[in-house]
Amino acid sequence: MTNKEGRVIVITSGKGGVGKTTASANIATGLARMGYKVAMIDTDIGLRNLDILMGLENRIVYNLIDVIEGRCKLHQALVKDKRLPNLSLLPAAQTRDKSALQQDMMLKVCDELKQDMDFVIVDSPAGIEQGFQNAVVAASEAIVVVTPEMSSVRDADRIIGLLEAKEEMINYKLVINRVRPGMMKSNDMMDIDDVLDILSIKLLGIVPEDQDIIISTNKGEPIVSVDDSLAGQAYRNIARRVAGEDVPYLDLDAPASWMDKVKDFFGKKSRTA
Amino acid sequence: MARTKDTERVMLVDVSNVANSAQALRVLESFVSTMNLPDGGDYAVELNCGGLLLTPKVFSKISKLIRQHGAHLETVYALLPQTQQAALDNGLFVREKPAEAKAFKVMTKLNSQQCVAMSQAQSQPVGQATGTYGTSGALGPSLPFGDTMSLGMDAIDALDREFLTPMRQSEDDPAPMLDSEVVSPFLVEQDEVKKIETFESDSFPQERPTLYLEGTLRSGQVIRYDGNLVIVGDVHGGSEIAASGNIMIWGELRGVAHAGAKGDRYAEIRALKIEAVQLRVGDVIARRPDRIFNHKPDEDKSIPMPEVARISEGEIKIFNDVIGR
Repeated sequence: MTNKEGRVIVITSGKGGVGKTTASANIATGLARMGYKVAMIDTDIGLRNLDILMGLENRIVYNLIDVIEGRCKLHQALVKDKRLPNLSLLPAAQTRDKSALQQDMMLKVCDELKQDMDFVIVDSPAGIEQGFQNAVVAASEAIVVVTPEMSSVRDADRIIGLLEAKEEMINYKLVINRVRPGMMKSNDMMDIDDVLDILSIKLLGIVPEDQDIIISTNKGEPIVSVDDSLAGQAYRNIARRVAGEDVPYLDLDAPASWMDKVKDFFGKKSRTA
Repeated sequence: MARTKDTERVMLVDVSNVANSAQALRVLESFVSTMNLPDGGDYAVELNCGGLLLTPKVFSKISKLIRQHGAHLETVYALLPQTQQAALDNGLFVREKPAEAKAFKVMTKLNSQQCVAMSQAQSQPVGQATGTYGTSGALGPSLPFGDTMSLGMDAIDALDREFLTPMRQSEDDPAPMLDSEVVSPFLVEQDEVKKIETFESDSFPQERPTLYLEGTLRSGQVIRYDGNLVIVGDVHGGSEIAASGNIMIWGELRGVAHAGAKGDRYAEIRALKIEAVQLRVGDVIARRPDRIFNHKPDEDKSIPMPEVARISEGEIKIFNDVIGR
């Protein structure tokens, strides 16, 4: 993997609050756990969050805008993850706004970064304006995050349209986040097939709603590192699929209880991993 | 601020430029801890206090500090009669001014640089909190940054060597956070500061202008000022403040604060409560320890003690800010 250029993947959604940043942190961490060299770029200038999710806020000295405006070199601004040495973060500037970033500069930074990395994960801001354009400019792949709600799906559809219009975009897939299997069964929530029907885009993964996500966000430790969490397992699977492995989807109908684990142990009902 | 007379075993330490007795003690401490005297000699220290007001108690502390390092305080140069009397009370020789006052001033600058260079070269092991200054009793126990945060942290993270490396000054690394404009609800006029200069900044604390602001500084807001900075209000996480001089916050500090942003390692950051994500003084950085999620125990709800962060033994530490030292 080291000889060829790394893959630049943008994580985007259109709508805010659907889990772009959480997905970025977890997919990047998941890939890094598999041994790949991964860099994350937070392009949400002025509203940065990725550093908090990664628990790296206190380590930031320079940021993306400092790099672009020449106050430091790229390697100085990269914040090394506290657990995984092959994972690093290029944080956004909190004290500036989206206009501080230009597309050509973003392209330059990504080009430089992907020389050393297997993956460059770009966390995009919400919206379809300049911030989004900056985030996608260097990417050849995209992961669209959506929740099973009409508003989110509508926004995702708009985003997919914009991605399709981009010549360099060779691959874009869908992550359906905050899925509640129970509600889907009782038809209280759009189910996976509804979402896929509307968006007609390939599925990369399904992440169940999990309150442990809130804990992990506050702790600054991505849930992908929590072994016994279902959402963590979902993100581990997504990371493996991003890396090119063929992994079956999680069976979310299986109740995640200790009983389940007992059943697992006796091989009566094995949850796909 | 110090100079060694070549001919004799007498050292002259100049504290006439500092603002108060605490700073004078700190200058002295950084000087005596780096002077590395060969054994066997009796070395004398002369202290130039200028117009500084020092009490007999401070003089006894100074004497003790110097004695601990194998020298003794002999002569005091002081302009104020109170300081002169205080020195006499401690059995010291008192004169008004050092003999060659004019030549001396030039020497001060040169040697202050040397002094800083020396303390930089000295690498102190992380976690050795109490040094001569702490035990001298001027300011209560000295605590490394991490421990004062009262958030249940175990490790002392005040100085992460690996993390610090990019912050050290070198020719090709530009200085951090010093040349962007003021983005804030407050309109601040200031000179653009281009690079960190070494210690020989000619604006001593009392000569710097001071900016006084009232209000809450919120995430994303920035204040940079060439001088001292006083903020009456809280400084929230995600905001940044930087000043070439000292910073005082009458409120809680949660953002990033940089005092002595032009390179003054004697600058201080004061706040009613320091919970900053990062503290920077001069060219030194300390970051808040990880695992901030633990909620604080109830005892922390007691009346908060004002805190001050400054460089001690090469790293940033937080002290309880005791008034009347």
